[in-house]
Amino acid sequence: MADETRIDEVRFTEAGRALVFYTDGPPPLPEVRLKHAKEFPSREVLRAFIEGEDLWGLAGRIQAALRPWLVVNPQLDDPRQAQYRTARFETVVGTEAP
Amino acid sequence: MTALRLMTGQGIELVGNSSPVIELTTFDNIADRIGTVFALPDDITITHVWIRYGARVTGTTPVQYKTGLQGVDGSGLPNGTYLGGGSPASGTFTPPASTAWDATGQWIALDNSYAGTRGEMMSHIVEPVGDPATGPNTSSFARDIDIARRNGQAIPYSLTKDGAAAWTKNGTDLPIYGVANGSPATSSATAVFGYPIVTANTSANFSTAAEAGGQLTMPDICDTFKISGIYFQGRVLGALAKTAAIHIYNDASTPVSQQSKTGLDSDWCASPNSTHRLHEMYFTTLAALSPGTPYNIVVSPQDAAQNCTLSYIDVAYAQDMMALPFGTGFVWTERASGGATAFTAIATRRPMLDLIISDITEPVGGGAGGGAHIIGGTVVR
Repeated sequence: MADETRIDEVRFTEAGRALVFYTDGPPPLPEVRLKHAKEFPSREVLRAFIEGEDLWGLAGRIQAALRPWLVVNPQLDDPRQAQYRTARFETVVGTEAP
Repeated sequence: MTALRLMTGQGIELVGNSSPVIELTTFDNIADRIGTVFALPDDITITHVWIRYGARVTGTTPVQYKTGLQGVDGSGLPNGTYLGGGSPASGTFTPPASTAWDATGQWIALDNSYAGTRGEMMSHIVEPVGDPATGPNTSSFARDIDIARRNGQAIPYSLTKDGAAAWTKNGTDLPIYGVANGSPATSSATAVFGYPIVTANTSANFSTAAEAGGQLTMPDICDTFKISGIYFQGRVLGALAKTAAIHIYNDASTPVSQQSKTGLDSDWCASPNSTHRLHEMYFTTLAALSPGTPYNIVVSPQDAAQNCTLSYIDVAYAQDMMALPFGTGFVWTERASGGATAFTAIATRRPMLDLIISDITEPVGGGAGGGAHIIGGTVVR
């Protein structure tokens, strides 16, 4: 995963899994969004991943992609992403102890 | 004492601060492909191949797909020709227009079986038959497991092909795939190879008298054996002087501890709340254990709110375990409280727990060849 990793979309399934769709490199053309995804088995695992408690090798890079997206709240070129950010994604980012 | 450390999650190394994550590729072009190049471990007539579906990404009605076995060209890429000549080793399937297949492993029957030979290099392919760009009706499929700090995969390896582009090899992650004679989905498999792993996860916290670990039934290849230690990935919360223990119980309705080691306190090596730490622990007095008898080898919290965890991998069907070391003879086990509470085994779950086995005695009457036979024979494969 390149340092330019861009998070396209995050989905949570009814079964509790989290799918993080991402694209390496510059902003993708619409037709290549959602090409690659990482599947987390639960929101807890994703949250630990984001919060940095789970610092395995790749975490730092995807975390670098996720944190600015969450904290800085950049302008998103796909309005659907705002829905995921506010309505879905923030639901898994907490500060409570594990 | 000669000790053997037998990995129970072959290829899924125990790694501290790690959560293996499934990697998916979405098929949004009729020329998209995913594949795995691997060496066949034994002579086997392959009748089924395994795919791990992700989900419907766009649209509701997935297109038809083809999967099967191809040869490998001189560059290590699938050669584009299904094995079997005029009787190609391939089969088709159509994911359902529902969530029923989401995050599941599926064994797909080949239209024609293929007699593979030990050591043969081949590739397993998934490709669309219908055009997923129509609609669009795209689906994702898992290709590998991203494992912390692994970063050095040679064979087997996964590949992806994005539309008209050339194949791209993945030299980092562990491919997930499977080939079988017979179908584990119907408990009719006689051989299963590969890594048919559906997901990897970490258990919920367990505390006080709850216990979790692995249930081992050693194949009948020795007279007795001993387990001198275990190596596991999980958390043993050490706050406030809390400690845990490790035990080996028999599998009775009122389990009896055969051996143990108490006083495991992760304060020694890690801060409280740390996740996914590695623990190499040894028992004090070793019992002579018998093959063919199930034993529960577990982590045992000693206090309330101690919040131990143990990492694990899941497969779809019990016979999928045949692809892993110890086969169906090593599965997840747990119980909610101690005393007269029996352990419950989960046949499709494998703890991230390695066994350090020692003092293996030859079978009475000789013949099986002792420890060396274990390394090269039934236990490992």
